[in-house]
This record gives sequence, structure tokens and C-alpha cells, in this order.
Amino acid sequence: MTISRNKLAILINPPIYDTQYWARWSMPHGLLKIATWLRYEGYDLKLYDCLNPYGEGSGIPERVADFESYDAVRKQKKSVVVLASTEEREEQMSYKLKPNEKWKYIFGLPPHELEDQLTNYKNSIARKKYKSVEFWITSIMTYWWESTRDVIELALRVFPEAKIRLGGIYPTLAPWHAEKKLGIDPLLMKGDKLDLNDEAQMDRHLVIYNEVPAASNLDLATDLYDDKERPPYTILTTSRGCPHICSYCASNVLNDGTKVRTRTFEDVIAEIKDKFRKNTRVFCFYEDNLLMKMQEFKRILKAVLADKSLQGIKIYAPEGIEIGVALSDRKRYLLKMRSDKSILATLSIETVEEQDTSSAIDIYEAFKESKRRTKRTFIKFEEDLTHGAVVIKEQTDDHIVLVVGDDDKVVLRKAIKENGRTDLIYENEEQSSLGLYLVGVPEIVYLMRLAGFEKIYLPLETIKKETNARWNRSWNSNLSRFESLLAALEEVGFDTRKQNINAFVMFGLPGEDLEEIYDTALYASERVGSVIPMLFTPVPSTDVYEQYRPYIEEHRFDLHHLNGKLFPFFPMLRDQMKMKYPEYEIEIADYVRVESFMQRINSKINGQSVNIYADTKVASTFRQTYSEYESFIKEWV
Amino acid sequence: MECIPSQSWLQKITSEDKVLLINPPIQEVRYAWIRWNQPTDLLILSSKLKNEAGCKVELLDFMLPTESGRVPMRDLAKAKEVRTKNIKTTYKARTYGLPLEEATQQLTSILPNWTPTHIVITTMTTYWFETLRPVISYMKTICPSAQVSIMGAYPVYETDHAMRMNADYLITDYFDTAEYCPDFEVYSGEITKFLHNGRTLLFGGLRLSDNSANAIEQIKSLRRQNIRDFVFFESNIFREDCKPLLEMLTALEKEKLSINLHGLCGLEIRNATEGIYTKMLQAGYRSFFLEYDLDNTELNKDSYRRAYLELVKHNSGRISSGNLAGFIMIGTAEDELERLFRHTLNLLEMCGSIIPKPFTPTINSEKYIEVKQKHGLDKLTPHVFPLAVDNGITREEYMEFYQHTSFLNEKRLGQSFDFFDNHYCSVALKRSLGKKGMMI
Ligand code: B12
Ligand code: SF4
Repeated sequence: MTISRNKLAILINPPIYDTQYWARWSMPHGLLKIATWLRYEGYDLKLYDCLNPYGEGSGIPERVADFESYDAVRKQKKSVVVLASTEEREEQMSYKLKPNEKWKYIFGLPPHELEDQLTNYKNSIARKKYKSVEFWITSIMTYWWESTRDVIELALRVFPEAKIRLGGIYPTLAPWHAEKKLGIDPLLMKGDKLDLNDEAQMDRHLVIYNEVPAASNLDLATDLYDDKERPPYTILTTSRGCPHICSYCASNVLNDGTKVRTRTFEDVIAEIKDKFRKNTRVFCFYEDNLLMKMQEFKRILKAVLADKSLQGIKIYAPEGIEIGVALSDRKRYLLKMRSDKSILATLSIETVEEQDTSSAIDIYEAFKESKRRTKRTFIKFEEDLTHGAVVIKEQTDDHIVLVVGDDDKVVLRKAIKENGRTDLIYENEEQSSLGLYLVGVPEIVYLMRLAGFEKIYLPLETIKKETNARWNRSWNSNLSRFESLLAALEEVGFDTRKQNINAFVMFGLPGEDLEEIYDTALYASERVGSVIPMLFTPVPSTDVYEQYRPYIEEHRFDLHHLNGKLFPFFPMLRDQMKMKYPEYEIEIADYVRVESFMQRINSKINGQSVNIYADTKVASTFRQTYSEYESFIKEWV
Repeated sequence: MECIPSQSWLQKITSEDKVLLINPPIQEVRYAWIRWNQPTDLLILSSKLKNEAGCKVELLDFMLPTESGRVPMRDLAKAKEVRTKNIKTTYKARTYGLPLEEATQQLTSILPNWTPTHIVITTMTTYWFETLRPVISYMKTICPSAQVSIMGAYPVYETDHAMRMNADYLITDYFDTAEYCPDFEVYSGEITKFLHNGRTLLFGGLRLSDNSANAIEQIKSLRRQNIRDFVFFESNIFREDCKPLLEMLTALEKEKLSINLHGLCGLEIRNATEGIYTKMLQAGYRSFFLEYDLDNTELNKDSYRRAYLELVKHNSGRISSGNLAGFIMIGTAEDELERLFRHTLNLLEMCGSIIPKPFTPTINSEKYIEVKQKHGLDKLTPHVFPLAVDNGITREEYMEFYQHTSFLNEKRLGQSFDFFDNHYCSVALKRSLGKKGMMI
């Protein structure tokens, strides 16, 4: 008989209750880092990832080779929810929904099955005599808190002596809620105060908010998955935090402020290589703001590209990249052939500071001196992509002469723009016999393409300036920036109308006008062919949440009602719109229609998404006919 | 090669003969509703031959769908290139139907026991002739003793052209089949079934005969073979003030056969009489695809109103999504984009689904002859829009029009595009779309 005096940690990523769920990239990486940490601290571990699409019981019929197919887990109907209200009730499976209702499903392993599995597990470890059994439960979205509660309850039913440790986003953003609503009497504490050797702490149930710093940079304990069930991708987090405070975003609460911290370059590369060696090909970046530490991120990408042993890597960033930030990057100049759009060579303008030769003694002098100090900028030939067809003939700091093929001479010259920035100009473009041209793109975009980013997600959100300002996001996007970034993406080879590029469009937000939502969605659809509706979700702890707290309280909304898919702000929106347009009807079902309209404009016909916003004769005739349309059947109804 | 009227051809067939009827594969740019394909003319000819000549008849139906309703399709066909006013458009074409090698494999293996003396290949249109030559040479190679005949629209109207196909006979007029019904039994015959690898009929394509008792008998016998779905292949099912249809529906109701009827073609709504749709619903009609009905150039409000009231407004059940649809004819000489879109929206608002139906000129009309001379016979397929460009709309524009209609038609939450009401979500969409620059 084995007698262990170890501690056992049962780690759980609970199932969720929602009307819709997209299961890709759902690996509970916070919890898996916690697991690694607990292992170091001497715990035995057992993982239940109830949302793993690769799990045996996930409901995906067979192991499909295509990685992209794993975007769903099993689901079963739980109840019917009435949109924009607190009403929820059980119904027969065959119940036909009313236009203002949606089914709420249990996604993932249902609680009763989890309970059975835990019971079996308990029997299997009966002989081990653990000193203590602890449940380490992560909770992602605040509006999924109910399943966290249910999992805690069933865990304690099976292991009445066990202690609960709850962490993750929900307790971080709504500690006041987690403290009271989970049916336990927990000690509420910040992650950095957690001490596994403190008996007084360990004797209690714990609700832990914010990071657990000791765990934050650790590897993910993916070995806890059965070999057959292990997700074939991994999540990479290379930085935490964001310097902005957009009014709907919880980043500064999650990260205890606006400081951005990055992991060391060596650490990240070591992780990538290690995972790749162990056969993980797909890497998904989860960052608060991917590009905030641009230089570090670029350094990682460059290292990945330079490393032959990492060939075949696929990288995703489903959270999206901030448009303004991407555009602020320095330029990479692409020398391209007009006929087939191929890139022949790339160049950049490098800046180095001259050596400090001053002998100033006091600080003020030194500062003035540094201002005076000259910077040297010069043209850098980065790469020849033609295997030798591009040859440097002549080069100074200010210009470079290339010969392409046998006799196309290309003269590129440095030029200072009005804003003081240095640019590179193709002086004799008209003379090019091969039809060459030069285009500058943000270097980051070029590197992302090279590094194998499969899809780009852009938070367009709204094309209306005032709205962006209201969200404290004026720095982010405006139309011309969105356009510039798209142009750059096209130049580096993304096919913008084949759904490689996706634009998030926000809706469901107080103060909005549906017309503005349509404007944005149609514009996005014309430009990128793929629109992802982002239903506005008020996140506890944010400014927006505080601003609408009276409304939320008045409607007696609990956290699970504050889920964008349920349109919590509809009553307010309806009142606002009724004031503005008393002559029209507006119902919640109309919002469901707008949501489905956004999906409809993504529909692809013969591999192309339809473009009802195009400048063609057909599209404009359609628009005109529709906008002047008079009901055909109104006299008969 | 001999051109021969149907009556004389018939006289050549004796009770000793073994006739193999062939529904050939086809080459086309698109083929919608392939599962509703049935060679009714061959089935009727089978009845006639069995009855008048007393010969043996078997069928090789290249277009017979599999159980899932699919017909094999391959990319082998030659692309169709059309050039009008110096604008060239290339359409990818495909070959639809069982591959020749596969079909003949079965045939070769039974030839020692059953060698046809006559092979009759039918043609549904004048412009589906491209597969005939390979089929005929193949047949001649494997059964050199059989006489090969072509029947149907192609030899009747394009006799000269058909002479190039190496057939022995071109049947230059239509058989008189007024008193015959389709011979569905032929599909269950041992040899025919073998030729089709055991596959058999999925639905019954009937004619609204003057004698409804006959049709009822047929339906009953098909029901015994577990066939539930029926279509009347008729150019106008509402003809003669709906008398034949009414008679049929009344008979059907009496029999309580529990069948599904599909109104896929011939719903010439201007001839529909009061109450007919209600009656159709009661008798088991599941789908209604309304033919395009114009009063001059505008939709004929009266006929659509009647359909709308009976099928939507006063219909207590609901016709399932996509099963009530309006056809809209596109590609005519008179087309105007604005009108097409307006009618599209009208029909969508009314029916919830629209089906663009590309136009081809009627056989031997002035336009028909013009297209034939200018572009060639095979370009009479409506799917290459033979009258495009000349009518002010390019073929690319028709493509884009298709994209728009698919966008409008696509079902989301069981609904197609439905932003026609006075709700703000519709009004705002109109405004938003209306703002973007317009041409015209
Ligand atoms: C990845 C992500 C997504 C992905 C989700 C992929 C998926 N399939 O799950 C996508 C892009 C789909 C997405 C979508 C949305 N998201 Co999101 N998303 C994130 C993001 C960036 C990471 C989430 C995550 O996995 N974090 C991992 C955490 C848990 O790991 P960690 O921090 O390293 O873990 C540490 C601590 O948390 C702690 N810890 C973690 N677990 C545990 C467990 C225990 C026991 C303990 C003690 C400690 C502990 O210790 C760890 C080590 O220090 C967060 C922002 C963020 N920075 O977290 C937003 C975030 C969760 N999303 C948010 C929002 C608003 C949304 C959307 C609603 C946006 C919209 N309007 O459409 C949608 C809704 C999606 C849905 N399914 O309903 C909000 C929160 C919403 C809420 N109310 O809770 C966040 C916080 C963003 C924000 N800054 O405001 N999102
Ligand atoms: S939305 Fe993005 S940019 Fe704004 S605060 Fe959050 S992470 Fe930062």
C-alpha cells in the first residue's frame, strides 16, 4: 500500500452556460501555469478541462485532421432565456423559441458527468491518503460565474473535506461577487499574498484575485492532458498589461495598473523551441495588447523566422492587433513587381546615435548635449528574395543603386518628409523596364506575414469618430488608418477579401444608432469581406460598467445577465431610439436580425464574399432600389 | 444515317426487338435541382413501345441520382467562351451524369445475355448535344449490331446539326404519346436495375393526364415502392382553369395516400383560380415555386396577391423555409437592373425566397436564330446569358447579380433577407445603404 502524505490539487476548467460558444483557443492557460507552480511546490495534480474540444467526450465525432475544425464542444440545452431581461426558465427540448428568446446551453462536460468522474476518481485514490485535497478552479468570463458555483458545489459534495481555491478573471474583476455568491465562506485575497505554507490560509476556502506572480511566467502543464486529448496548439503570453485605459476594457484591473511587463526574449524563444520540439506547430498569442512592446515582439518574430528548425510554425493572434500601434512601426520598404505583386527585395532606414564624445559635467549640460547629438540614418538593404537577381551597385548613406535582372537600374534615395521623418523614394520608377515599384509598410505587418500568421483580426469597432472618442480610444483607429493598414496588409500578401482579414465591429452599446452600426459593418465588409460582430459586454470593474451601474441595478441584472449575446442594454437603446425616431418600431428581435445581417454579409459565393457596398453598377443599383423600396405586400396584409 | 418521322421509325420496331433507351449525360455551366431530373419522354416512349410494338425495353439513365440526391459531376467539359461586342467571357462547364466508362462497364457485362437491337438516345433541349457523339461511338463500339437513334428536341429542330452525331436515325418529330403514362416499372426491371447498380427512382415525375384515375394508379404503385415525393412535369399545371389539377387533387384527397407534392415547375400563377393553392396545400403540396408573371414589364399584382393570401396570409401552417419561392427571369433582351432588383425584393418580401432563372430564346424564334448564328448552338444555354451585353448588362454583371441574390436568399435563423418592414432595423439599413454613392 502506498502511503502518501502529499497534497492533491484537482484543477478544474468548468463547463460554461451560454447561448453560443466558440471553443477554439480555449485552453485554460492561467490554470495550467498554476499547475506547474503547484507541482514545483510538491502537489500531486489532476486536471479536468471540461471545455477541451480535443477531449474524448468533447462531442466531436472523430479526430479530424484539420486543426480548424475544432471550434466547438458538445452542448446541451439548459434553459430558455428572455433577451434583455432576468427571465430564464426550463422548457421541453422541442420548445419553439419566440423571437425575443434564445436557448442557453451547457457547453462542455456537463456538471453531473463531472461529478461522476470525480466520484470515480475519489475511489481510485482512496488508498493514497492525501494530507489534503484542494480544488483549484479557474473562471474566465464574469458572466460564466454560475457554472463555477455549480462546480464548487459538486466538488464539495464529492470531497466534503476539500478546500476550494478559485482564481482567474471572474474573481479578479468581481471579487465582491465571488466572495458572496458561491455558497462558500471564503477568504478573499490578492494573488501575491497567497502562501502555500501558511496554515491559516490553507485551512480556508480561498477566492484569489489578480495574478499569482510566482506562476505568471511558468510553462503550461500540458502533460496533465492524456496523450490522446492534448490540444495540438499552445498559448503564448509574452507580455502583460497595457498603457491605455479604454473605458470598456479591464486590462488595467487585471494587471494591477497600466504598466507593461514583458518576459525576457530568451525565455520566450526557449518556450517556443521546446514546444516545437515536442511537436506543437500552432502557437496562439494571448496578450492584453500584442503590439504594445513592439520591439520585443518583432525580435521574437525575427528569431522565429531566422531559425530553420522552426519551419512550418503557424501563428495566430485571435485577440486582434491595434491599428494605430501597428501603423506607428518603422517602415520596411518592399521592392515589388507590378505584374505579379512579387516582392524582390526589402530595405529599411536604420538610425544609430553617434558615439557620446562630450565631456559635459552637469546633468543639464549633458541633456542639452544629447539633444544636439546627431543621429546617423542610413539605408539598409535587408534581403534579396530572388536568389541573386538583385545586386547592389552603389551605396551611400543617402542613396542606394540596385540592378535587378540584368539591366533594370533602381535608384532609391532617402528623403526627409514634412513631419521630419525619413522616407525612401524610388527616383527613377518610370524608367523601370520590369515594372517595379517601391512601397513602405509597417515592418511588423511584413514580419507577421513572413512568420506565418494565418489570419489577422482588426478591431475596427466603429467608423464614427465621436464614438471612438467616447470610448477613450481616439488614439486607435480612424478610417484613414484602417485603410492604410489594409493597404499594407495587401502589399505583404494577405488576401483581404478572402476572409484572411477579419474586422471586429462593436454593437449593442448605449448611445449607438443602428445606422452607424450598419455603416461600419458595410464598410468593413466592403474592405475585408469578413465582419465579426462583437456584442457589447459591460465588464465589471471598468468605467463603462460604473457608468451604467444605476441602470444595471435598476434592472436587477446579475453578472450572467451582462452578456453581450443577451443584449443587456436593449431597453435603454430602445428608449433612446424611440425618442429619436418615434415613428418606427423597435424590438429586441430587431437586434437579433442585425446580428444575423452581419453574418449574412460574410456569405461567400464562389469563394468570394458578396460586396453590396461596391462601386459597381450592380451593387449601386441594388442599394438604390433597396433604399427606395416600397413594400409590395403592405396593402394585402 | 436516315432522318425519319416518329411514325415510320415505330414501324421498324417489332416484338423481337430489344430497345435500350438512354438518358445521356450533359455538359453544362450550372445544373440546379439535379435531383429532380427524370426522362419522362423516355418513360412514356417505353409505355408506347411495350404496348404498340410489344418489344423489350430497358433504360440506361446517366442522370439517375444516388440516394442522397446527388449526380456525379466532373470538370472534364470544355469551357464555354462567349464573345459579344468584343467582351469575352469564359464559363467553366462540367459534365453531369454517370461517367461513361462506369455506365458501360455494367452494360458490357450483360451484353452476352442481352444485346439491344435498337438504342434510343433522348435530348431534352436543342443545345445539350455535346455528349452525344462520345456516347454514340461508345455504344457502337460495344454493341455494333444495334441501330442508334436520337430523339427529342435536338433532331426535331436541329436536324442538320444532328446529322454530325453519327447516329443511324434522327427522329424528326415527336411521338404521339397523348394516351400514355410514364413507365416507372422500367426502373425496377432486372436489367435496368443492374445497369444502375441497384439504384432506382427517388420520386415520381408525372403528367397531369386527362384521366386522373390513371395517374392515381401510378402514384399508388410508386407508393408501394416506397416513393413518397411527386412532381407534375407540366408547362402549366393551372391550364384549362385548373380543371385537370383540381380533378387530380380531389382524387388524391379521396385516396388519402399521404404523399408529398412539389410545385417545382409550371405554376403559371396568372391562370390560378381562387382557392386552388389552399386545395393544393390540403392535398399535400409542400413547395410552391411560382413562375415569373409579368403584366407588361411589371409584376402582375393580381396573380401574386392571390398566391400570397392563400399561401402566406391565410395559411395556418407554415411552408418551410425555402419552399415558397418566386422565380425571376434574368437575361432577357429587355432586362433592366433596377427592375430586376425591385422584382427580386418584391418576391423576396412575399415568398421569402427567390430563384433567378436565366433566359434562353424559344426555339426558332428570331433571337434563337440570331444567337445560333452569332455564337453557335451550344451557346443557347441560358447559363451563358446569350443575350447579355447586347441588352446593356454584361455577363460579369449577371454574375454579380447572382451573388446579390444568393446573399439575399441565404437563410439565417431560418430567414432570408427580411428588412422590409417599418422596424428601425430595416429603416436604418435603408438609410445606410442609401448613403453610399449611387450610379445609374
Ligand atoms: C483570449 C481572450 C479571448 C478569446 C477567448 C478564447 C476562448 N475560446 O476562450 C476571444 C478572442 C474569443 C475573446 C472573446 C471575448 N472576450 Co476576451 N479575452 C481574452 C483574454 C485576452 C485572455 C483570457 C485568458 O484566457 N486569460 C488567461 C488568464 C486566466 O491567465 P493568466 O492571467 O495568465 O492567469 C493568471 C491569473 O489570472 C491567475 N489565475 C488564473 N486562473 C487561476 C486559477 C486559480 C485557482 C488561481 C488561484 C489563479 C488563477 O493566475 C495566473 C497566473 O498569474 C482576456 C484578457 C486577459 N488579459 O485576460 C480577455 C477578456 C477575458 N475578454 C473579455 C471580453 C469582454 C470578451 C468578449 C465579450 C468581447 C466581445 N464583446 O465580444 C468576447 C466574448 C467571448 C465569449 N466567448 O463570450 C474581457 C472580460 C469579460 C468578462 N466580463 O469577464 C477580458 C478580461 C478583456 C478585457 N480586457 O476586458 N476573448
Ligand atoms: S482595449 Fe486594448 S488598448 Fe484598450 S486598454 Fe484594453 S488592452 Fe489596452
